[in-house]
Amino acid sequence: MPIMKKNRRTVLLFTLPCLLIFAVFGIGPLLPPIFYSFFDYKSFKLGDFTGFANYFKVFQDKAFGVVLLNNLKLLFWQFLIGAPLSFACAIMITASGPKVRRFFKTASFLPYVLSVTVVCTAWSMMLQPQWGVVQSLMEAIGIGHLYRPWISIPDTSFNVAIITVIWQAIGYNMLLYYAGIKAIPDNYLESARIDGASMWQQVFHITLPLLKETLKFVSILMITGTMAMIANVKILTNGARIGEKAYSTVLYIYDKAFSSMDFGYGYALTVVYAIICFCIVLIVNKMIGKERTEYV
Amino acid sequence: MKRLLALLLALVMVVGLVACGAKEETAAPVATEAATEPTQPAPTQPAEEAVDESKVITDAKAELRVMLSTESPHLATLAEEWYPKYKEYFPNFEVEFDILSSGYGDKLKIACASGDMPDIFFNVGTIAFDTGTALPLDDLIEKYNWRDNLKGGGSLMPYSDGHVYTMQDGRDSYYLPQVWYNKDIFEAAGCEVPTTYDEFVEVCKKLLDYGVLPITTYNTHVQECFLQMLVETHSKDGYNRMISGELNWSDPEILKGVEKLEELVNIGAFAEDQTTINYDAMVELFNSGKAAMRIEPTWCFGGITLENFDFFVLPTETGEKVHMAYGSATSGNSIGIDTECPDEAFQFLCWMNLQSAIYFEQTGTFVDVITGYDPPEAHELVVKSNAIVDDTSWYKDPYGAGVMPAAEYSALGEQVGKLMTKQITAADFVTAMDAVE
Repeated sequence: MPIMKKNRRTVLLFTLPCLLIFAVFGIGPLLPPIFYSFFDYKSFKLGDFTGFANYFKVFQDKAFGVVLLNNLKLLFWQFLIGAPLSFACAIMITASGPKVRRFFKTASFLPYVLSVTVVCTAWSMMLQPQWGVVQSLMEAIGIGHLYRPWISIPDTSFNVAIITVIWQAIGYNMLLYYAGIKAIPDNYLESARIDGASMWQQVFHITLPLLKETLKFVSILMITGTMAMIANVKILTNGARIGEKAYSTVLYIYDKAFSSMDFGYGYALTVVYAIICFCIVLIVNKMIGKERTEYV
Repeated sequence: MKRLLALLLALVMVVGLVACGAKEETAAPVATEAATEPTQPAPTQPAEEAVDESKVITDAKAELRVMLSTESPHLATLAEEWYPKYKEYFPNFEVEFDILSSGYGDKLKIACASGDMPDIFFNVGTIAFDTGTALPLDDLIEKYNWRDNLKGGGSLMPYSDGHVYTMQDGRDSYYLPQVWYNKDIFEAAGCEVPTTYDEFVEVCKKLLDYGVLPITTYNTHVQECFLQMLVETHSKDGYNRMISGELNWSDPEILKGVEKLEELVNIGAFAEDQTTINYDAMVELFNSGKAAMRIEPTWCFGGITLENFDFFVLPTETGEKVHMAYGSATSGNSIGIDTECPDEAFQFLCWMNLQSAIYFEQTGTFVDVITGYDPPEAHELVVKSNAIVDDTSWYKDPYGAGVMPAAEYSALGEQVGKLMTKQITAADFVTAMDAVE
């Protein structure tokens, strides 16, 4: 860091191309939505300046509240089930022998390799009422009366999307945790073992604290992926319009902008949602802490 | 072992990528048609000797971008197998085909918004006309005497501003929204073909008692045509008077139509997953005998594999002869306003229309374009369907959803979805629709 302060101009010169590219392609596209959100912009016709009217509409939009809750629900289940499952898989793989490790690494990563279209199409076919394997299995074991077309029911449709998201993300998060665990020097855990610490004590008192940066990284990836989710819902429901209970926020925004052709309102929704996502990332960043781990 | 696992993973990735590109909505209908004896032979592109010696239409140079939707297996065959053989007719053309099986409407909107319109595109809705991104074709039609190539000229429909923007082979004018029914199930359940709307509802209830699903239809058909069909059962022109602004959604004529849909939903006339049903699954419900009736226009005829089936037009309350006319000024292919070669684009468009007409004529569908070939003898049900369309004693109510403003059409889809999942009532439906700006 002191070297960088001394050679500020050189540092700036070398980072300038990247900064320019980021400014043009990263920040640049964010500006038109902010600008147009203050206008009545429908069906590709830029209308009058409306001030904050679109933003007032956002805060009065009950449907937006519902879809936002859907995404927060997904985020909640990701942190409650998805992340712990991935971590547990990573611990299990670390503790296993080489052959078992290779098998479980491949098996848990397989869902991530598949495209979201394949995953969601497979799930929707499995849950299909007339010919789906789930319905047939439930009939076979005598609980067919419990079957419901969950994807078509607005109250349960998004829950199916949550399952597909978590199922597919387990492998990728597991690999990140595994890489983080492998980066911990062996002498810490060896010392703990010599001192008589059980596996769980090692995990909670040594592994987890030293994995803070990995946890932060995985959390931010989960947040960004979760909040941007659109494909799972659209593919599972075959593009059906069964209301906001079954929508993700991004799908709702897309619908407002491109189906209803109300771009002004769509942009306002985008800006508000971006601010919400940014706040969530800031909160998680703060919770996990920012000190850097340095091994002695 | 490592190499084997790596190979396996690579195979899974390749399969996954291939599955990504698969047209899930179009794969099964082709398989269904091929699995049993088709009612019509598969269309074949004319052999070389059958075409006139001087095949070349123009030797002008042009680079064209053509954007097409392949939402049905027929359109997919045309776009992927027939149209790419253009070089024999346009040797100096370079044509790039942009073909989509889903999400076409959204891509067209993006093209309209960005001003990056293709030279030729399949039109959906009114957005291209309202934004001035489609070229009026009147002058080109006159210049190239295209009307001389048509039987009746019904395929050239002007939009509300008086201009013709789309060209089609004329099938849409002959697509009759109808109720296909399984005659064996009707007989077993003791149902007669209904002659009034009340009888139709009674038939649905009887089929439910018999243990068969009464109706199967594709999820967007309810929004696109079935709701209009229900309004027509008591008000022959009410739906279009609502579209034109003469009526509101909450006017009794329209509300009654929505209430009819609500009634059918409440008695369980539709499948549990009607709102999310995949097209292939919908087709299979009818073909496998799990559903007794299929509501879809004539284009679905070739995919019906039942041995004993027929159709009827959804009857009105009084038995008055009313049917929806599917042909619309927005149906067909258009030319982008910014095309650099409008003449060449128009000539290519005419050729595409001719190819489409040859294809569909061979399936027994009536087309407006003169193909120069003797059409095969049409199936009796196609003849019956065309006879109704040609019969002037029927009142023909134009397809309304095709000219509905985008915001209203989008809201309609959402409200239909909510009504069919029992989240709202008919009264809520019309209130929400009247609130659309």
